[in-house]
Amino acid sequence: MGVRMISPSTMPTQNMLSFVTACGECDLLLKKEATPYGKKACCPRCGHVLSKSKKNSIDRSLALAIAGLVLFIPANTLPILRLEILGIESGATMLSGVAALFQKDMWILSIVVLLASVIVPLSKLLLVLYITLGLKLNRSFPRLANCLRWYRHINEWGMLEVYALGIIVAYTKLIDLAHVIPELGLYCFVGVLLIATFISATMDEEKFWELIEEQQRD
Amino acid sequence: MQAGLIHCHICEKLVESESIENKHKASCPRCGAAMHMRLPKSISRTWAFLIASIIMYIPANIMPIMTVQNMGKGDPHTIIGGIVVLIYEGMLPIAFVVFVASLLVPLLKMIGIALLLISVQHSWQVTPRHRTKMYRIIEFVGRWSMLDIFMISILVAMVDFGGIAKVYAGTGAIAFAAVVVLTMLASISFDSRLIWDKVR
Ligand SMILES: [Zn+2]
Ligand SMILES: [Zn+2]
Repeated sequence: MGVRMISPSTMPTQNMLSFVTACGECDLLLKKEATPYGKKACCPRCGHVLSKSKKNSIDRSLALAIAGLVLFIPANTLPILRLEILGIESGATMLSGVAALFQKDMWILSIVVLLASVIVPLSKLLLVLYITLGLKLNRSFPRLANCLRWYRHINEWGMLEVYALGIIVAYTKLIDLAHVIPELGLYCFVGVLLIATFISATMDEEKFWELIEEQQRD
Repeated sequence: MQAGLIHCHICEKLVESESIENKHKASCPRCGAAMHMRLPKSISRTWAFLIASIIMYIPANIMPIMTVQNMGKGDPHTIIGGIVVLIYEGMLPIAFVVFVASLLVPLLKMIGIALLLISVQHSWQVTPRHRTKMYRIIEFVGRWSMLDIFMISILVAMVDFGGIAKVYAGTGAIAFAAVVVLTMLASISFDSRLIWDKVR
């Protein structure tokens, strides 16, 4: 979908609604036009990115969601870093960080960490899997629209990239204290992080909504 | 808003406002989200979250966020204390990253949201494009302040060597997490379309 500004004199009528859209950030009325693949359409008034058309958006998102889910379990249960002091070893997984906070009377903090680094990223992967499967098989899975809506709602609360920076800072704080070794869990975590980033870049939400709307009509 | 149309803020569908019967409990025919011309009570909600985050910002900086115990001796330190330790150890780039993420970003974010609110309430005519850009940046950077919280959770789990070395999280960390969550809620409740409503 590309855009063109609509002059105020041409107010839309009922049959115009199918090719009129509005900018999500400033509400300017715009005319839809097909956006070439790989191009972005921006609002002429405020510069908001209105749509980014992507090739094979459904297939790619589906493949990425499966890959992300496969890596998700080792990323959370295998140690990300291992520490050695005076011959004693200790490792931390993403989940043990949450558990350690919980045991030390910091349950509010542990819930925040659990949500932002485990539950929201996992839910996002599961929602993308469900939505893309439903669209790919062209079956009207129940609550497809609700799932995509929930994806939009929780999107902002997943913070894997911030967690990655947290690992780097923790690492630099520890190398002074002890011998620190990156572990397999860290590589799986980086994999999940990259996949989550690719998914946000390849998902053509505008197209997904149009497909869901078509399903609803049938 | 214009031409009797409502724009769904979730799936971006345009719906004729006349086709919706109950104006107070309208939901989008495509995605089912509640539909509003503008987010309800956007300005007062944003103010509420903003003021709450400003209040939490004080304990977040005064109270210790963690205690590192080494050979039985340990001193609790605040966010600023943690940055000072990093500088002292010569980790300047990391110290700078932590300084930006945990001190500068929350502060600038709170000032930015306050400015946006005041600009909308006083119908400023100038620089709507810049203010929209500022809103976009504010929305993007807020999450990065969570950095310290994640770092603490990793350290608490890893450094647990009984009497040799141990790391504890402090109450300041809870206040700090609250600041991050509250400023995120504030920027989500702010309806950026309000910036353009008053511009003629
Ligand atoms: Zn716009
Ligand atoms: Zn909608």
